Amino acid sequence: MRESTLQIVNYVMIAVLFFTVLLHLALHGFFGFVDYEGSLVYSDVVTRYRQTIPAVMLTVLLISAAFHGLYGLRNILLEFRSGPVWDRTVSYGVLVAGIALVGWGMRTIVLTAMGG
Amino acid sequence: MAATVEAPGVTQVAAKPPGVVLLRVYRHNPAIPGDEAKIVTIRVPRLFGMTVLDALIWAKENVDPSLAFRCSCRMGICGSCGMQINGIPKLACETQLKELEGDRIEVAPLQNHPVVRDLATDFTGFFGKHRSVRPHVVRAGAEPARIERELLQTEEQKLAYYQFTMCIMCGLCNSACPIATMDAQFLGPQAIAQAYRFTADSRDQGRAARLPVLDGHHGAWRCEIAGSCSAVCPKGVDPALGIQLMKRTLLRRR
Repeated sequence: MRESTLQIVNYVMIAVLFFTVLLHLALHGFFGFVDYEGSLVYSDVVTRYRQTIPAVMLTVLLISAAFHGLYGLRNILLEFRSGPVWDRTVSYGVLVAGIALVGWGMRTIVLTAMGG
Repeated sequence: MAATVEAPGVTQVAAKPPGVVLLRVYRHNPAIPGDEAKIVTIRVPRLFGMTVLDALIWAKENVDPSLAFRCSCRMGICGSCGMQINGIPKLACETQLKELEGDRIEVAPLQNHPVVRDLATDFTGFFGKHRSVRPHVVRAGAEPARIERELLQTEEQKLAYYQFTMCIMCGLCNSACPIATMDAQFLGPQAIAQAYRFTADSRDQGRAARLPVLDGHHGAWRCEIAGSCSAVCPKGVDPALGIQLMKRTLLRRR
């Protein structure tokens, strides 16, 4: 994939991340809860996971944060060393890490939403 | 005048007479097995209008003929005498002694370029990266046997790339680039800015061949806009701007 394509996706993810983090913090801090600690009560957290909009928002937050973070990590690692083998290892390693991270996060969201 | 050899970072300088500059020169010959890099201090008389290059030439003629450095035009046009002067990449021929603070001047080879000997560095990789971006006007089809007509440009079309034509390929920008220090394969500010110079040229039709190199792992997107390339350019070129314009070109080609 072209670097410019990855960069465009990264720009989109940054914008998405900005708004989802704001929304996430706003939901915890301002709407429906007395305070931040109160928003972290187990039963409330499980209830949010079972509602469609918060669950979708968490999914979007997970994907955008994972992409943005791992894309940055890839850039740092690409600067550490040079060579086609290193480039491929880093790119595919980061891709696998991203799939694992999103998969793990999605598992939590889906299982909780299904009552697990 | 005698030269005193000292270990890097160790001061062994006696009281200096007025009108003398202490030239601390990096000496190293990688071709000699076991030769270790060292700093040699050479006392050079401070003459009116003397540049760092003049001081080096004086040292070579009067103290140590084996001192190696590269120079040619002595007037900031050829770009041969780039070196680290007091830690900053500069052209030795354009750096007056009087503009440097103190009487002690540190002279070292350009960073991010392999040392050939002393202050002379190897530009093979630098020129290779330059060539990889096809730094010339590319026309579609076969080269015509003779020029049928001039390729005219408006003033606006010329100004789109004009400042980047001032590059003298001295390598100072690459030497100052922190990304080039970390990533030896990074194309570097010089090559990317020159790629933009030709990509932005209305006469050029070689964009499709040029852009894949710039859109690769070690192309324009590795730049983190430190801006040190633009800060050290002796010709007032802004390679950092060229890189950002190149990024915009890469995004718009989709």
